Amino acid sequence: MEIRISRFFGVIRNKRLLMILCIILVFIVLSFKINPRGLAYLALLGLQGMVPIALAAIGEVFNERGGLCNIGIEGTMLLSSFVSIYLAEVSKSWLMGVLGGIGTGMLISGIFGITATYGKGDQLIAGIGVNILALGFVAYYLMEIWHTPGYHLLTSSNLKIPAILTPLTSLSWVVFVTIGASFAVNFVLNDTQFGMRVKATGYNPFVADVSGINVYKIRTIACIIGGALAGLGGAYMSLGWLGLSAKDLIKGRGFIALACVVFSGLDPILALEAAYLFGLFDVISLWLQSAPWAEVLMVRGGRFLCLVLPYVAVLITLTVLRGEKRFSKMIGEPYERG
Amino acid sequence: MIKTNTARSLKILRPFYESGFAILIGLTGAMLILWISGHDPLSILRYGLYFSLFTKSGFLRTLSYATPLILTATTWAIGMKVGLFNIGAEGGVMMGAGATIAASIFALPPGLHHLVAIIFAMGAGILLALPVAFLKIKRNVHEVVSTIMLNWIAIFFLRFLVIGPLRDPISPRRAIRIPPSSRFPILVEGSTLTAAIIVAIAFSIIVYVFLWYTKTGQHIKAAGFNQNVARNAGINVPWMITLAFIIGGAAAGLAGCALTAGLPPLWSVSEKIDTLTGYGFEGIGVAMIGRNHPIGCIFAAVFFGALLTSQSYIQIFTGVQAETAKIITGIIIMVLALPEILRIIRRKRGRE
Repeated sequence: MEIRISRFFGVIRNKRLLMILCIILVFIVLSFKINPRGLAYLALLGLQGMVPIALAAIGEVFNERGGLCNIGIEGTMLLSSFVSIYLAEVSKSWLMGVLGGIGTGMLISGIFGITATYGKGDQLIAGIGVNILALGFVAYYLMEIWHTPGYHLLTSSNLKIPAILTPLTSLSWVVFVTIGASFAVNFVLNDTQFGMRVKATGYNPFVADVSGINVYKIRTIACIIGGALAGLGGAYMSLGWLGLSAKDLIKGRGFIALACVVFSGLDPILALEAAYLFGLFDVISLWLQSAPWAEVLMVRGGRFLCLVLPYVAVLITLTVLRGEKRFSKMIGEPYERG
Repeated sequence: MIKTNTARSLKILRPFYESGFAILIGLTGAMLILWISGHDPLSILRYGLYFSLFTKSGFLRTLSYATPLILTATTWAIGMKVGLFNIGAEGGVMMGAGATIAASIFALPPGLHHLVAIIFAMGAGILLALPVAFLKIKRNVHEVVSTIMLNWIAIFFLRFLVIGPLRDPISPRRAIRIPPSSRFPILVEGSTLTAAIIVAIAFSIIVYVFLWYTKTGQHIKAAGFNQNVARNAGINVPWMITLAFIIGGAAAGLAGCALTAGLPPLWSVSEKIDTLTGYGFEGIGVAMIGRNHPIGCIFAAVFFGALLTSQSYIQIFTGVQAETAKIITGIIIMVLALPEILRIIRRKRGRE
């Protein structure tokens, strides 16, 4: 009996397995209402919902390994989604748009990184500043460029990021980039010298500094790489998935990504799994609105209650499965050379 | 003797010039953005701040915009006093607005109805803040994540309420209008300034007195300075954190009340809830300019109210739809996050 219980708790500690169990549980619940084909369709759609959250989360894992806690990724994603749609329309090429989005992400995170390292700024407050700045910036330029206060639809669907057609739905190649990125970040962090340096600056900047690592430089570079990933996530939101730009396009996905990071304990592959779970809920909340059997619930504003689903899922996940405590205490603290 | 006096006066003045410097950078940034997009950068000063601060109708409007900002700034300020980053004001505003409208279904005499509406709004704000405190204390979840999740939940919940249960049968695109018995009286005829501003200022004065002149308030501040020391001194730190969230939630809920029962001519919430959005995040900027001091927040809120008013004046005079206030807020927050810049100007002041 005792062995069995401890084994059960062992499963709980093994978060990778637990996450997969959660995802399977969601599908079992759904299977009461949907046929297998529908389930497979939702599973693929979940990959789409996963991409922005996962890219931001993987980028943030890289950041936090380096010791910077960037809560401005929400704003970074919003800005790059806007810039990428604008650049794609101006240059008539989706590639320019995506590159512009990545560039914006790098620029904004670079500013944040320099603020947080060389400027010794308070990272959380600077991150909130980035978020609010992005809100104002996007609202201002939506009005300035397209003269719409709400949202701007992409003018031609040719400008969307090309997708691979599967029998059920089309999958953007960014999905595969995302999955690749999580393994790449895992590899870089654990098996390269640069990754070790990043981890060292995050774990103990004093020791890292003494052993000859330029803490500020490494932290800023890690932050810029994280920003590039978040920027790709933003570009995917506007050019790949929804094909529009709006001031509330990201809808808290940056913060959902932060929840993934907290939950994953800075493991990029676990972050990917958590992002898939939350992306799945994101997609389910959209799918519920168009489901025929749920039509009765949708009248009189019920669809807004559906949209709550991903956020409730995050809160429940954080409540039930508590975040790891084995973070280094130095994360989020400005480092001052003494 | 004289030297120590000047040093002391410099120390007292420090928050003012630091805030002034941040405002200056924020305004410069906004002007730069206006200039890059081909507009007159000085219009923000000429039309905006002049009309919103030095004309009667403009200043009344500024004060009316400042009303919710005073309260949402208090939410952030009291969080910062315990070392919390409470960015849940946006959701609290939504819940407060919904509760105020829900309270309008009662038929009560005016004074009592106001009280009931205020209590409902504060209660709703607190309701949204309690899960954050629980997750923070029991589950070690960072409040930034949980407050943002709850903000979105509150936003969608209010949108559900507005076209669902609280829908106005006469005009389905908005919620029920607040009945005259619970509307805050308009202070100056023809303006949007209502008695809600008196409630807001009273609330922040109460918070000030509570934080500075009561034992519990001092305990809250002590828990913010150093949690370990506070714990050793016998202060119940988790309870202080919960209390800060409760007061912050109440303030945000009250802001929601001020934006519905205290905002003519709509006295309600439209389907897109656009009269409510943004105050929570601008409140962060207000509180940081006000140096997280409840009284400072009042003055900072007037400045931010002027910025919001200037947006509409700029639109009237130049036709530019300038959502500049948030850009300025963002830049100001980022500048104030930088101790290094502040240290540099401090050093320069010191040399003089």
